[in-house]
Amino acid sequence: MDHEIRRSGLAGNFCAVVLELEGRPDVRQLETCCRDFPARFPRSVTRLRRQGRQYAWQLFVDKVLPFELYDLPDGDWGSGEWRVADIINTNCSPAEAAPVELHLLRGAERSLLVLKWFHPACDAKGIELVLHHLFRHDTAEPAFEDSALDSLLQRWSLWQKIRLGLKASKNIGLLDRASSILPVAGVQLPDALAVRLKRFDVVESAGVLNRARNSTGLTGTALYFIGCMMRALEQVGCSQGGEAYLVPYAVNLRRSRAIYPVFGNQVSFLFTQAERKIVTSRERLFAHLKEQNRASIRAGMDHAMLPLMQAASWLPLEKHGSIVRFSPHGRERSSFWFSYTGPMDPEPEEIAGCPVTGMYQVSQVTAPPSMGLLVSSFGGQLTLSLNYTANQFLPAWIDDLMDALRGELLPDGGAA
Amino acid sequence: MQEKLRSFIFRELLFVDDPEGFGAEDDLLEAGLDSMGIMRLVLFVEDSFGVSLPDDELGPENLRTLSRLETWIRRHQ
Repeated sequence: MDHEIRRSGLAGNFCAVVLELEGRPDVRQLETCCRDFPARFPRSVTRLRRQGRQYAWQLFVDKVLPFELYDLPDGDWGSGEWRVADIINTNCSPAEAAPVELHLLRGAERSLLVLKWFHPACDAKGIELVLHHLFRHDTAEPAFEDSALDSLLQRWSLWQKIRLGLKASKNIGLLDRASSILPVAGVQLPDALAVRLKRFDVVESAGVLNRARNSTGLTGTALYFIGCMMRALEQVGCSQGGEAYLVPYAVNLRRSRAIYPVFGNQVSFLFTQAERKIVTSRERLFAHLKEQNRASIRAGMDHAMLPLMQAASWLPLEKHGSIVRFSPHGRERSSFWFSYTGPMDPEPEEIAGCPVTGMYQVSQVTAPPSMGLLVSSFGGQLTLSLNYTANQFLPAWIDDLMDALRGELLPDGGAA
Repeated sequence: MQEKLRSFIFRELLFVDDPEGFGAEDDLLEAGLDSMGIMRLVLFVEDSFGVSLPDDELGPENLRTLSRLETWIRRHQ
């Protein structure tokens, strides 16, 4: 999707996880981590190079993780948030983009540690594992990582892959019958990603998760967030009308608690879709999303996508991106992008001498849909990160959307 | 039955340092079995043992340990 994001006038397929720290971290400790990490994970210092019709990660000259330090003016904590946006909007070519970079925004009493990463060198769960290994201070041998995605692909014969791929294609074809509702219709170049955060305290977060459990079941927390966002968009109104909301969501292929593999794209994805008439009823919507998810998993749709993804890796970038994004009618498929990786496990308590007090995520998107909702959980607190293209939305509309979303997540406004 | 469940869980869903040493009363949720893992486990159980597990019984009380899971499955066989 890097090509598509750049074509949309944005920086490229960059994402970031932002850790909020109390105090001023020990910079030398961070520099040591950046120097030691690549010895265990050589993939962290590769660059993307074309090899025939495909791309591969090749070792780069620099053997340290890039690290940038910014000192925030005293008392100007607000500048930290827009500096994060600056970092995610910094453009560099795919050939120059490092898989992972560290940026430290150092304030007098609080700091932000930004791990910026380039998809598909890494994925959302992988960057949590980077965090885990980066600050472990062990001197283990270089890690040899089996790709979870490749391990699955190797199980299937060519004919099995063809059958799975056809199954996935048919499923996508069925979803494409309904035109997707989009927050905005067009593109306004050039543009930049903006970020709006909404934090829930521990009590409110427990309330949200409790409602998720009651609405979409033990296994449907992500669906609860997606459903609430659909309803919030329906309330505030979207520029590009359509018949249904369609949202892709990632499925981590690693085993739970596995600390390898770290690098590479180890996710498949599923789609969830709901027509407007279903979105208007909260109860009906959540029952529908839950059943749709169950049916998708039962049909093995997450695995069925993998042969398609493998085949698509042979396509030129322009074709690859457009097939992922657009329906045969030429319309953008996704109503918004979404990510929820669940609570970090293990959760870092301190980094470079500073307690970690919070975490959120940032991700570039294509335009359209020009919007992504990323939900993070840290220390029992949820943080919503709404990422959107700055030129295409009025601040007041974003305010209304965030208010509507909060209202949907906590419908009676309160605690658990 | 537990061996079949154990093999699937630790091969496909959950990483633990010592799968052989994971007891029938050890906590799968505490060990990290996540929501997707739970979904896949339920579907594996339904396909492998020919049972239908009601959604409204999907909870920690039936999934927390291998022995509770086995009890739940047998109740529906």
